[in-house]
Amino acid sequence: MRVQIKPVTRIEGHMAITIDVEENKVKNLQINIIEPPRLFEKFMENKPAEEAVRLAERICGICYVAHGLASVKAVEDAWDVEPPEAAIKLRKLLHAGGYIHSHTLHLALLALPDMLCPGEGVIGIAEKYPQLFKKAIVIRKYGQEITEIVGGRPIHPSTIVPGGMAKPLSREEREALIEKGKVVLKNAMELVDTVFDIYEKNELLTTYPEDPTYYMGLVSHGLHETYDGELHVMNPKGNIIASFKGLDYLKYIAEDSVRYSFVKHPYLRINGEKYRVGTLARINVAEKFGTPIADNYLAMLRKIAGKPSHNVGAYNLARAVEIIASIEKALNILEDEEVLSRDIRAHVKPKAGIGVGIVEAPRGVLIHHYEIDDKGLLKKVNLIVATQQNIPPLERELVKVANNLLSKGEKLATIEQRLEMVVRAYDPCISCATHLVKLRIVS
Amino acid sequence: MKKLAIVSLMSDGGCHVAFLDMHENILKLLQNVELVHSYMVLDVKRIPDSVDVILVEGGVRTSHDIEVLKEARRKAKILVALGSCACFGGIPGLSNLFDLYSSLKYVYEKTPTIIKGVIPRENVPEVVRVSPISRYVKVDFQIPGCPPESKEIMEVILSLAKGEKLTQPTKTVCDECPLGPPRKKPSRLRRIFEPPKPNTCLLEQGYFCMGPVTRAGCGAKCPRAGIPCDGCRGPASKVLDQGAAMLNTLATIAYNTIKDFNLRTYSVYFYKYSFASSLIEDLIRKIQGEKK
Repeated sequence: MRVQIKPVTRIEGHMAITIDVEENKVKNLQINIIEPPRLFEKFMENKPAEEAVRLAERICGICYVAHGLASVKAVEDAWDVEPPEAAIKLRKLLHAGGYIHSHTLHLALLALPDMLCPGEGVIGIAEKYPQLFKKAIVIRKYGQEITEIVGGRPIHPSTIVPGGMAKPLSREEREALIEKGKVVLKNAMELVDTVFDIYEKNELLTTYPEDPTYYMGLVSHGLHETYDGELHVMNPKGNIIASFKGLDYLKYIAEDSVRYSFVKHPYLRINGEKYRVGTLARINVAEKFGTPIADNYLAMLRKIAGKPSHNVGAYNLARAVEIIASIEKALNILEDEEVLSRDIRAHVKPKAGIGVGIVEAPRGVLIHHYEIDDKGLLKKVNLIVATQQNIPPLERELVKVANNLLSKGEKLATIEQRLEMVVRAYDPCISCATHLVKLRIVS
Repeated sequence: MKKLAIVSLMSDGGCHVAFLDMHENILKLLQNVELVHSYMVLDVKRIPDSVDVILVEGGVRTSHDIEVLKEARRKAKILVALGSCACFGGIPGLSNLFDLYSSLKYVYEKTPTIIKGVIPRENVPEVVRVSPISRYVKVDFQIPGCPPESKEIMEVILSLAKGEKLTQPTKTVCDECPLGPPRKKPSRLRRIFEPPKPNTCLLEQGYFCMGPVTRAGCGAKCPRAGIPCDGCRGPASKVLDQGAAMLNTLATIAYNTIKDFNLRTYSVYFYKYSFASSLIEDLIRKIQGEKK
């Protein structure tokens, strides 16, 4: 029997899952990413490197900020340019805005319907839980306002340029963002409390698979990091086995392309193992956030899920805590006088070189690697994007969940719904990963 | 209540996010229309049979895109192209300047991290040249932009739900920009890592600013932030070909400033969002068609 879920809904992109079942057991499972391949890595060639930023943002209509930042960091690395401190603060503020929007979109609008109104999607949340819906709107809107003010536009910001940022922040803009941020933080704490309550009351973690695996994420001095720092690799026992930055990524990450999917499958070059990235990986590799409210929630999370936590369901909880951390970080940056500095652009001179830009996108480790010629044109581009790294472990987890439900004699509809829930916990962004996902059940 | 669906083809999902960026106004919209299909926020797997307005996000890149697009056309009373990929092919259209097989070969077999490489062909659709949806179906209205303005998406949906007739705007980004128009010829070309002089037209300073040939409606957000317009809203209403029109403008004011012109590089300025609907693309398709 062949089962297909096509398409998986309430995710960002197009994906199908094809499962061949024999004697009530999964014989073969494929995540078929059918999102059209846009081939960015090729058509970015010959373009002036500074234009890479606005091209790369279009890889993803959700985490455009992360792509813009990874891209500009790669160009600056190749050109040996250090942006002024104030510009880096503006970029981190922009990045926090991107996280607030992306995580709230997923948690409240894509994931919560599974927990509160299965099958009804976002309309169910809007109609049955109007207060919750309004809170989510207020929080996400704040993220988009930050992006519009700092980035010039709410989606696909235009102000990120090699050397710094094109637009300074005015005092009025800053005061307004601080004022709103305080209200938004309160709303976010209420949303996160609700999510933790639902998890605890319904023992939701037990419905998700435990999958001890490797993790990768940025850390800076033991703290949770999204823009700077070093990539740490953690083994299933919770020990950090490697840390690296820049071009050294080539020693640690390899990928295979597969016949049945437009997404390439990465793995650890050092031992051939699959690894996970994203919200759960980040809180596993870091000791703490370094902001008080988020650290309180992190302690709650670790009490119910452990450290390291291998439970796929903990991705949602970690996402919730990261919303709080992002708002706290944004407020900290805004309260720093330096963010108003007009010294936000360094002198830039293009030259031949190789550059790597690594950031944490909301869905995980994002790497842009460019080779640039002496005119400042891109010669070669390689991208490792967040979602693709989670696909290989996700395939393994779906087999486990499907086998468990098949052995209990569950109906196909239930199996389909549960598999989709597991997929959604990762918040996969398929347009990113092809730079697609569908679950198909065909008899 | 009129039924609304959002169908998604080759895209980055940004138009869907722009739709959600109506924020609290989504509640107002939902009092006026019934959202019956959207892969991102609903669980309805197929496009329902009869839908009043279907917004198509994304251009065509695969055989699957073509099937879904034709299904959307059959089921829609009014079909709207949402965003610059659907309207003009968008940024992925730049890949039409590269041989498709070599591109797939590079991306799936040759990047520096690939160990075992293979071009995917099993359980995945066939890959074709990028094109705007109008090459395959009749389009009733366009909402361009990368992404489109959320306010414009809302206004168009509400007007269509009321059965009002819509007209496309005729102004250019320059008409909305406080910096222009250019008063003198640029002395040399500038790249965006060089900071511009404040309160001065960016084209006049030598930046490739696509304002003169690009459709208005964004309020000239990018030039206001000190960054030249890159033409994301596509050709203004009287412009046949966005890149050719810009070349024409430049030939008038700065003909001697472009050196080593080659389309793979300069397409990022002239045709960033509209190459797949350009006259050159038409010609390439004609020649390829003749070869077959």
